[in-house]
Amino acid sequence: MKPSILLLIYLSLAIGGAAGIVYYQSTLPDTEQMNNDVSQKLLSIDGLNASVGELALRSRHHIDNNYDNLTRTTALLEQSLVSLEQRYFNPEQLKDPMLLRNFELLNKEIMIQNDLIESFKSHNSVLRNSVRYAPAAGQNLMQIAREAKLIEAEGLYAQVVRELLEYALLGSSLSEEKLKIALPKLAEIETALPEFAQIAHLEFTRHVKTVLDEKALTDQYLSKALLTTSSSKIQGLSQAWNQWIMQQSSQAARLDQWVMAYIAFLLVGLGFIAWKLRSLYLHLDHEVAVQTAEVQKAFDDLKESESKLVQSEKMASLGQMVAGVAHEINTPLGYISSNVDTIRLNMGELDGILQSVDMISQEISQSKPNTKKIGNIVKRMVHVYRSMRQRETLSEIEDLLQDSSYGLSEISDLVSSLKDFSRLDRTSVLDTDLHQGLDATLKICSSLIGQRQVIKTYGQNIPLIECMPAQLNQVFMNIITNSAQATADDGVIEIITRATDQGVEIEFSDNGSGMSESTIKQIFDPFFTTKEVGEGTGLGMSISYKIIKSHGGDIEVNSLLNQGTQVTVKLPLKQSQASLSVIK
Amino acid sequence: MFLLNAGFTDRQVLAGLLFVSLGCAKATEPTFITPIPQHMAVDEAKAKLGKTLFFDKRLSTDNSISCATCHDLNGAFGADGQQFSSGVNGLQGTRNSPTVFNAVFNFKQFWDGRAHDLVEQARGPVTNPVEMGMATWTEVVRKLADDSQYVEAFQQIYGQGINEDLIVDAIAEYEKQLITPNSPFDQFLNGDESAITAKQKKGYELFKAYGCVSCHQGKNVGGNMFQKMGVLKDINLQSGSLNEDLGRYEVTKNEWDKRVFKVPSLRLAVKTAPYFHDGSVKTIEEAVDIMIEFQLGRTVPKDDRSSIIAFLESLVGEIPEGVL
Ligand code: HEC
Ligand code: HEC
Repeated sequence: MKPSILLLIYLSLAIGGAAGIVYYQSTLPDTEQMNNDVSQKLLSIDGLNASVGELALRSRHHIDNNYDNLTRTTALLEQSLVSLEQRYFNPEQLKDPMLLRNFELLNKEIMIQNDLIESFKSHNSVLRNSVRYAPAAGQNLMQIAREAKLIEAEGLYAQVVRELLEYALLGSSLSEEKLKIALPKLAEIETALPEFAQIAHLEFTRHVKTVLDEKALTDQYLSKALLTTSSSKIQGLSQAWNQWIMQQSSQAARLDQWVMAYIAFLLVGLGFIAWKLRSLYLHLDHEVAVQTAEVQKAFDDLKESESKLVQSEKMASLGQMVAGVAHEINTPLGYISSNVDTIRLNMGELDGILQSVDMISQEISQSKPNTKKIGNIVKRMVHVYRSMRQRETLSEIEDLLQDSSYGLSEISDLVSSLKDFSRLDRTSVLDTDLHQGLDATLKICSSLIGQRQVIKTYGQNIPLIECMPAQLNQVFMNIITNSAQATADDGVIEIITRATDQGVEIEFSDNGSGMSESTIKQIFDPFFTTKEVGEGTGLGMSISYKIIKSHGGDIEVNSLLNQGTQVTVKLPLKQSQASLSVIK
Repeated sequence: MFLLNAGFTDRQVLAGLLFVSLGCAKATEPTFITPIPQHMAVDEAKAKLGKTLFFDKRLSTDNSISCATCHDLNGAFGADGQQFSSGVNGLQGTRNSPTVFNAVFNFKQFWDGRAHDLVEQARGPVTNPVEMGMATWTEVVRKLADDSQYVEAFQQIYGQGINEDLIVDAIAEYEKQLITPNSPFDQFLNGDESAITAKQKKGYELFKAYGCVSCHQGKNVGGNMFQKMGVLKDINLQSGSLNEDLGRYEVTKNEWDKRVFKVPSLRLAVKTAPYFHDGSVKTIEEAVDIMIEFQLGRTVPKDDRSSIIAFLESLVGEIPEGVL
């Protein structure tokens, strides 16, 4: 598998894992803080609940004379439960049915308890009033009965008051029974009372009844309230809560395990990626080294083949030059040698004359010179001479020698041109007369140029140019060769030189076949050639371009197909420091 | 029993028991009624916003009624002096509007205690068809949101946009400020014997002695328990309409809650006629008479009644500065 795909899979797993853990954690409550909060609230609820009982008892026994504390406490208890429900024990937040049920149970119990407390409060107040009022009312009635001499009634009032107080204050059930028995008796005595006392009697009776009813109700509500199992419900909830918290923390612990596993997974993954990357890099390093070597080799090869090519171009032009030069030398050499042959033939006759001279001198040196013999010799000599003169042998020799001497000067010219041209290996930058170079080149190329007309329009006062003459000559030869090859045998090649502001301009034009525009565009590209395979390397113009550029000059080609070509070379007077180093 | 067995005469036993019953009460001066605090701690910004809302008629469907219409804070001590207040379109409910002053000290709100606190209470009137008549709270919120000042204020104070919870919260916060401290009686409780007249003092003693204090007690002189109307005499025997409303029964449907009401605070009673849940009783005298007859089940001399009323007058405190 591709490493990038592996990485992608790994990354999505890593992100997915993180998201999963974060999500899982978000579903987990912050148990510690929650636990603290809830435990504290449950504790305070427990406390409030206990207070409710205590405060209710205080009210029942008139230690507290108003319900403000009790009321505030029940309200606080309710509020605590509401806030607990809102914050924690609502089905949206808490998914634990067991806990929710426990809370619901507690909530209901507290509601019931508070309702009981409310009822207790109401009845307790009424009871209290009647307990306070009834004895006074009873005493008042006792007084009236005594004054009205109603002994039985007085006794009954006293008994009822006593039983009432005992019942109300001490809770005696015997008193309750007695009161209940006394009540109908009270109704019986009503008619015996004086009229003005009847209302007081009715009130008294009503209060006694009220005490009976309200005491029972008050105590009933209070004991019910105190006996509610809210306390154990709180405990139940506490326990359920603790259990739940434990469950949660085990869940949290599981999350921790997951996180650990996740981290391990990440580490392993990272390690794997690191390893993968390392081997990848190693591989890459190797690859790069190989590639570099290859590139280096290709580069070297190219370099080599380039220098080979340049070399072969050099050789080609050298060959061309040598061929031209050989031809040039051959011609005078040919007739010089035939001249010499002719002269040698004629030399035989001259040799005879010289032998005759020798024989004459021998004869003369003898004591008796043989005049006749001398005369014969002279005669023969004159004969030879005359025949020679007749045949113009001497003037012919003269002519031949002159001719040969011309041929030799021709050869010597050529050689000196050759020297001029091929200062090829001289690598120094010289102030050079371009005309000399052009002439030498033309000379070397003369066999190639053949019958073509060369019009030299050399400008006046052309300054010397700082350059490498051998390189420039190579350019000239290249251009002239191209021109000669492009033109017909009787074509015209024109060379114009002129001085410009910057230096010198040399214009080569011909009336040859010219070039198409696309050819012009490629003319300086290396290996571009329009010639037959083997005729040119295709490097000539590109090398020329390089040479002129390295001289800080410029080379321009204008051409019209079938009309001719014009090549303009521009050269500066002096070389900049930079191009000096390039030229070398 | 042990008293009887010891051979005491009835009289002696009676005296002893009376001593016990009264003596207990005498031992420490019992705190039946306590003063209300000078200040209530409130969030000033919320209270200020609540005040604007309390007086804003846009909380009603036809922009004619504000909370203050029925709870006139300036002239009528937080009530409106009517038997039944007129809501939108002149519609009337069936209960007398209680004062909002000191309502914060009530253990429950409304005559029947159906709201636990001021916040819960404030949700009621706005959408009550016979009070402010808004169709829904959403509509209320939309109306208020048209006012950029509200939008800004809510944003600034609560950090969120207007909604029902915030509106009632602000109103409730304001209502916490609506208290009447420094009444002569509170000053008396705080030790200033001369703060109330001798008659008022006598009235207080009678208020305790007759047992009004069993029901009207605590710091609000009421408002901390429920009581049946007519505990000692059947309210059906009353000549008026007080027996018609079943009170808390309507909320709980418990038989024993029939005609049970929250015991109202008496701190501003003398200022907030008419009386009782249906406002059917015009004068304080009649109201006290009804209390004496039906809640105490006894007869009280006229003189004592006027002393009690004088005492009730000493309960009227001051409206704190800057609240209105
Ligand atoms: C149309 C008249 C009317 C308007 C408007 C009105 N109320 Fe009331 N208010 C009443 C009546 C009537 C009651 C008693 C109702 C009951 O107990 O059933 C009441 C009860 C209350 C209580 C309970 C007091 C206590 O001691 O139980 C408070 C607090 C209160 N109103 C505040 C407000 C607020 C805040 C507003 C504005 C949002 C308001 N009211 C608007 C008529 C009105
Ligand atoms: C058993 C409890 C109880 C006792 C005792 C009691 N009251 Fe009341 N009181 C009530 C209840 C309950 C109400 C409200 C009834 C209703 O509106 O239907 C009330 C209402 C009142 C009101 C009307 C308040 C208002 O704003 O409408 C006054 C005034 C009053 N009581 C004064 C007294 C006086 C004075 C005494 C003593 C003489 C007294 N009460 C004794 C329970 C009691």
